[in-house]
Amino acid sequence: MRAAIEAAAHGVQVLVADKGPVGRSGTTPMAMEAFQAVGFPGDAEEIHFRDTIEGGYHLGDENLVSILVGDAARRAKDLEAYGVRFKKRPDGAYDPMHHPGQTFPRALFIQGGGFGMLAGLIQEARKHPKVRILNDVFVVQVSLDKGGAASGAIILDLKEGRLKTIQSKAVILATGGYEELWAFNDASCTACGDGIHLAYEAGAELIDLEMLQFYPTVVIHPPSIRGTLFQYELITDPEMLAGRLINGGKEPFFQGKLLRDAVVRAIWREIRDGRGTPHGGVYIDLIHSVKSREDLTRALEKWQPNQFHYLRDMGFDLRETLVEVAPHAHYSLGGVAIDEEARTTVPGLFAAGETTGNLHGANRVSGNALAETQVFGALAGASAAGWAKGREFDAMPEYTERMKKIEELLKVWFRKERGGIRPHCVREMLQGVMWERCGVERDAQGLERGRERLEEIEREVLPRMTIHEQSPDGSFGAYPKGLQEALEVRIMIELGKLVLASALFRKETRGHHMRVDYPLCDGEPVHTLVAKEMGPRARKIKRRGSGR
Amino acid sequence: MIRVIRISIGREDPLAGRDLQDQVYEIRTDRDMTILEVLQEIYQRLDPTLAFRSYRCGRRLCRSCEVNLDGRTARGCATLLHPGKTYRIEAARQGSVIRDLVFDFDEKQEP
Repeated sequence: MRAAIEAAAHGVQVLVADKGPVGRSGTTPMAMEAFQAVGFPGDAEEIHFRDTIEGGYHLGDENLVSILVGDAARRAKDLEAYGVRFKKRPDGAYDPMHHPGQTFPRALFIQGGGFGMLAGLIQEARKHPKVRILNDVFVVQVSLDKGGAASGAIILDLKEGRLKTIQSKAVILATGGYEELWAFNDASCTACGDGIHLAYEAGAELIDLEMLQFYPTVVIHPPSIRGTLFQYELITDPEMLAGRLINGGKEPFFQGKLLRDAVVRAIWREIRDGRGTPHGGVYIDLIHSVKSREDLTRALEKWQPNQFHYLRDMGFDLRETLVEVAPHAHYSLGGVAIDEEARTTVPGLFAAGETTGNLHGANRVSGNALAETQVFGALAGASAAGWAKGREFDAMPEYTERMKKIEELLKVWFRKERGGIRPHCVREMLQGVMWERCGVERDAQGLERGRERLEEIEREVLPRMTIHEQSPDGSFGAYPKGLQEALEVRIMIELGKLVLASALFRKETRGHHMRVDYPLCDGEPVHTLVAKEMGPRARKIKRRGSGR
Repeated sequence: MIRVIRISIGREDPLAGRDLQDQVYEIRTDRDMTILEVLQEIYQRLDPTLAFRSYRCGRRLCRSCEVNLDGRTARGCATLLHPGKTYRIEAARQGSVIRDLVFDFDEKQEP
């Protein structure tokens, strides 16, 4: 949405296509409150830079990190101008949280979290006559012109169940990550890697796909609240909730302010070695907090109000109940490779946010994700507008033909006869494989087995995939839920294979990529690069000053 | 103890010319379930043609899963249904239904 605002401000027409209702789908509404930007006395961009590079185990591209830390504070001001509210002190200064990995308190607190931020952005975009928003569309393919440049897209309009084409002079992908590939994730069900797959199909390079950030404390039981994230950063902080994490035997097992990957490892050890809770997690324990009930209530209301109220109303009052949590897939560190202008390796194709893969490295410091959406969204919007201005629309002569082909492909899944496997069952198979073979701990044998299993699913299960809904008039019918799921699972299998290949290629432990057969992190860091018809290969980290 | 959540869902498909009609489903369970869980269960185990939005923001903010439950607006992610009881659900915004419980957020935009 930030890209749309920026592109429109540069004088071009913008169409925003969202898989669901804008503002109520995708990744941003699920984001926590932190937006990392320098502002605290004594802090500096250089320190934010160092925190981000070190927090990412030196795998982030320095040229991109440099842009992030340089623009973040300015983009926070933009958000305020759009009506987004930050937590402030009585004197009007930001009231930031101090999260692990930050030398100074730098996590500006957005009221309403990602949902609140997005609401402000949408409000701003709607003011702009050059921005049009298209809800409920599934982008099936990015179109390329004869010169190989992005020239629009073929979409499935979910409201009508019909394929349509969009002509454009540039395309920006900002579709979030691919956490939904893993059985246990705290992301939205829409996070299937759509944009990353679209870029791959168009010929773009993907980078560090093996790097998936796990979040330590996500509710694992009961099913009604499974997948709800509660911020570990607040639990153990003596200034905040002064609680602790305890294992199934009710014993604490770690201390101090640790980065996400370190806490994940600590929790994983408890679970793996049989010291977990009945449902395979550990407990959040605020019952034994040294804070009084009143202080605890105040802190929960101040720092985690939505989660606190939601869990309490669902019968889990954190002040009185232990809640079972476990590490879940949380954020895709890998994705589409971009340069300092948010360009992918395909001309006219840009990418921003979680869809991209070379900013954070092997771990992401809290607050850098929302900052990333704004910094690189604005950058992509400006770059795409600049590119589009010098170009003509593609004549698109063979589009009807291409659409017909896709339609035939999709119709194969609609079968009248009984039997067959529904898309959600295929999805569950894939998610199980990815969690078991490419989860928190990985080794060559497991990854190879995972790859074989995905190939098996592709070969033997996918051809039997069946969708039951279809309209009598030959269209796919209004809101073809099954068809959307089938399209998603096809993407997920292909991406899953690329993730496994990348994870096999990285023979080291770095950040969230934990190879038990290569436990050390001592070599020169290099990226893992994949593209169509190109197996994994290494690429050097880009240093500062290599652009802008 | 396993008991039944009985749920009557108002279904319609304006594009195909099918008017609002109720369909009754029964879910056997021993625990309270959210509306969203019940819908998922129906879709996955009983009726692949049921349309609803699966999205869940995880903190009761986005209203993507909103439905009308027994005459009142309710969030699918945060409203528990109890075994042994009977409910009726329809789209939260009649008049802008895309199909079954899915309605169009484009119309009647909230401020």
